[in-house]
Amino acid sequence: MKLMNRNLISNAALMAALFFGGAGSAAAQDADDPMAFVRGAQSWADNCARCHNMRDPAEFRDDFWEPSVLHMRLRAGLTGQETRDILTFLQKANDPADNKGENK
Amino acid sequence: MKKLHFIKLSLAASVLASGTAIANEDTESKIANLESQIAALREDVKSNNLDTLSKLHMAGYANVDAIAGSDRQEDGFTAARFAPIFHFQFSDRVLFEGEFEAETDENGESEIAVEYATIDLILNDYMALVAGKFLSPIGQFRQNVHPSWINKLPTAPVGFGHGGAAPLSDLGVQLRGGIPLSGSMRANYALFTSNGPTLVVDADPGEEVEIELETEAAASNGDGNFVYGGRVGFLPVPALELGLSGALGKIGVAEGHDVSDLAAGEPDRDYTVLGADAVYNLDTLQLRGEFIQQTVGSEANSAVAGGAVTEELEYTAWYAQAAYRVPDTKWEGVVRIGDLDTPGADANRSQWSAGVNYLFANHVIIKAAYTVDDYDDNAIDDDERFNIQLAYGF
Repeated sequence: MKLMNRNLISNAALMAALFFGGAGSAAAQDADDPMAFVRGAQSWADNCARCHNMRDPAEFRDDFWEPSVLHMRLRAGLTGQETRDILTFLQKANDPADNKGENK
Repeated sequence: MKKLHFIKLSLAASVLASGTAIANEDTESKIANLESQIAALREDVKSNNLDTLSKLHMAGYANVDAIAGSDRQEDGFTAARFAPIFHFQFSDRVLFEGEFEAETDENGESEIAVEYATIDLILNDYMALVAGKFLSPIGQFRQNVHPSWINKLPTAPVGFGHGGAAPLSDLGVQLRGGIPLSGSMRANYALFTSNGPTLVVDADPGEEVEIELETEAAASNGDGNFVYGGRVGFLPVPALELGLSGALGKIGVAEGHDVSDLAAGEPDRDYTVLGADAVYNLDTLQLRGEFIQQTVGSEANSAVAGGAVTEELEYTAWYAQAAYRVPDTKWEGVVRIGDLDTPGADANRSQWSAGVNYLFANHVIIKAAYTVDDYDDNAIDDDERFNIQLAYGF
């Protein structure tokens, strides 16, 4: 009985790790992925205009884009990877020195 | 002679060397200055504490509306709405999002409503759990297009606003996410269970029976029934999304004005809703359309309102819309047609609108549209009007 319980617990732990795992470590990997910006620009162009006019990356600073993009992940049915790529793009494209915030 | 030449060369070399040394010193000083500025900026960023686990962002929209030329309403300003959306994020996994809608009504009072309030848990790259009051996942307009800075016209399509034929919101839970298929082909989904709507039958003595399917989420489930449903979106290419949605369950019948005022002994009814939607973007042209039908099953033993609602009840609405932004300008033209059919014959009508928008920015838009409501009942005069709206998404 004890052995069965232990198996049950370990199986549940494995399932939970598989289910909930991935996003955190993937986010860390994406930060160093040089192609994330390019993929993000493409995903941004492909997805955002389906519902609304494109928003300028310079509208918000980095920490504002994070919850905003997470919200849009749920609205638009984006995958975690697409969300991280778009966030990378927006956070790298919002440098006020390069972008005067004009409507593109 | 040779000696003089040597002295001249030595002098020139020493002048050059001292010049280079000065230049090097200047560069070094500039680098040191920049390094100290970077260090100060780092400290500044650290003290601002921007990179925290919890993040707050306020988005939302606001609009001011005016109407002219209507036979049903005096010319004037008709709305001042402020709809802030709060996003509280914890790590990469948790988001609370809530939208208030505050507006001034015709009596000068302020009305405040919670459009949605959900706690969202990111389960993995392809799935999130959303719990709370959420905009109906049936179709696209309610959940994605209704904010005034997104909607291309000053008004919602007929049947897609409050008191129409499309479900508004649900209180329950949903699983939603996106799935990559092949190449650029993708799919998205939303599966939900909720308290579901209530059929409200209002039959004051001596007055005509009013029937309304109340689809605004209520924080009670008086009939004890749940509705189950969802939407699947398919994107064969990024520019095209095709959606199918539906839900079914049992709903209770309320007698009076309130959804909680369930009619005693009234049997529950079958409830189904079906929806289809599509959107296609080609450069600056956007085509969008949607169909939604809600059906409440018949019940021969219904006693409410003297047996006035024993028959099957259908609520159907659809619209098709084209919007074209003139390239490299801030001007946009929009046309939309639509239709509404409900058991309340007075509301049934077809509608068309044509509008022009000027985009001060992509999220600051002034819209002017001419709309005609053509009522199915010939005894009701058509309504023709101009709607003007200034919308700001923030």
